[in-house]
Amino acid sequence: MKKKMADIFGYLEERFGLERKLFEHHSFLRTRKGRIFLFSGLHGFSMKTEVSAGLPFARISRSNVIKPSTAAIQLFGSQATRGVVSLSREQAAAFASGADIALEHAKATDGYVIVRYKQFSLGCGHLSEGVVKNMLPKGKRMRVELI
Amino acid sequence: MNMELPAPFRERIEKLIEDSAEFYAAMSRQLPYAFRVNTLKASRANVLKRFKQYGISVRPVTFYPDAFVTDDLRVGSTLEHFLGHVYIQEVVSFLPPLALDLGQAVLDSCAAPGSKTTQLAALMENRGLLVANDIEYMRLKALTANIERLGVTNTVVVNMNVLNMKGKFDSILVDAPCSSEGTLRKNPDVIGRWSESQIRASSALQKRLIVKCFEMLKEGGSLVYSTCTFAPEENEAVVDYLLSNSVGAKLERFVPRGFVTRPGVSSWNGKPFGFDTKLVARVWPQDNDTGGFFIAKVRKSG
Repeated sequence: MKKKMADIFGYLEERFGLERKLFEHHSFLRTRKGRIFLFSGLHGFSMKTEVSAGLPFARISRSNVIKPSTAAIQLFGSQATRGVVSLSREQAAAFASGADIALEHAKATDGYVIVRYKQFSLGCGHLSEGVVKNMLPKGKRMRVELI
Repeated sequence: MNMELPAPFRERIEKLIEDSAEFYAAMSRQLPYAFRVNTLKASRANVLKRFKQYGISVRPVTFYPDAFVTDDLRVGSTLEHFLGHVYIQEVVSFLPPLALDLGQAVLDSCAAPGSKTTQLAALMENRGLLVANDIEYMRLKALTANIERLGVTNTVVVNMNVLNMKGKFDSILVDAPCSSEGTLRKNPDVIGRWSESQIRASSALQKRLIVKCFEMLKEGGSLVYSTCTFAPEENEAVVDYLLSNSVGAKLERFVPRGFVTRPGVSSWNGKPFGFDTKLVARVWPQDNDTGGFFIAKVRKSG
């Protein structure tokens, strides 16, 4: 368990330049299904019927690949120094409504990326061969009027 | 909206207020749109600046600097809404979290869909501990979606019957399920489900809920009981039941700044209530152009 959490910090630093001290008042809770929640509340409360604690932060696949959640990216993405792709206004509107985005040239290496429009971190994408695959949860996709 | 209100509904309203004509007029108007800035993810100044750029004009909510009223329906399709920087919520629904004195451990006992939960988390600045419970599993989906969108990290979601819960809390919100008469402006369907027997059933459950939640309150702790209905059986009668069945319950007045509230009714169907009903607050739609609401603030003396 400890090692897994060290993995998370290492990954956030290496992939996005997110420093460990950003999360010093938080704890990461891992579920059996490989979901990681970020929790900033007090500990010591437990109930059998607990559904979740904190914010869904990331998911670890069976092959040990870490995928950050859109919720996590919206909260911490502005602190990231790498692993970021920036979109134009038209691209951002298309991304928010669920489209994949082909980039002319991406600064990030392939893998999960923080998708930004101006200073706003919109959510998670997966970059591969110049295309950002849309990782926004279906329920979050919407038509945004960008001005 | 010119809805047909059942005769027994109208009779009850006319027993409660003298300005029923103004009430009916307010109920037939469109409810203004309100939202709050989610301070967990954005600052009020930045959101206001961007909304100004969009040409969305807003008016302040007098008792809550983070909240605004607008006639512009575009709020729901802004980037700020997508990002969880704003949350659309009714004006009266802002009241209960503001009335509650927040300690370290806070319980939102009937939490879904999470408007007040996420507002509480913002007021707590994602610190302390917020337990958000709802008995209906299906409704938790909306609650967890709102927690995600608004960036709430201090909350534990549980799915229990409050009556079986254990634990001690510094602050408890009982935003009770009710006959929802006060939401008619927004949901005309409410009238199809409305009946006096439903009011009696709600009242019986609310009495058990408030007593149980008061039990879970630490000494010196704060409890807020609220409904979105006008029915005295679900409001003053529930508070009366708590005060006469629980030792150490004391009412405190809650006065939202610049907002008109009226005292509770002192009797219903010829039966006087056994407490000073000026200490609880009723919100009538005609007074502030909102939905209807009831709110009582209770302290556990220790």
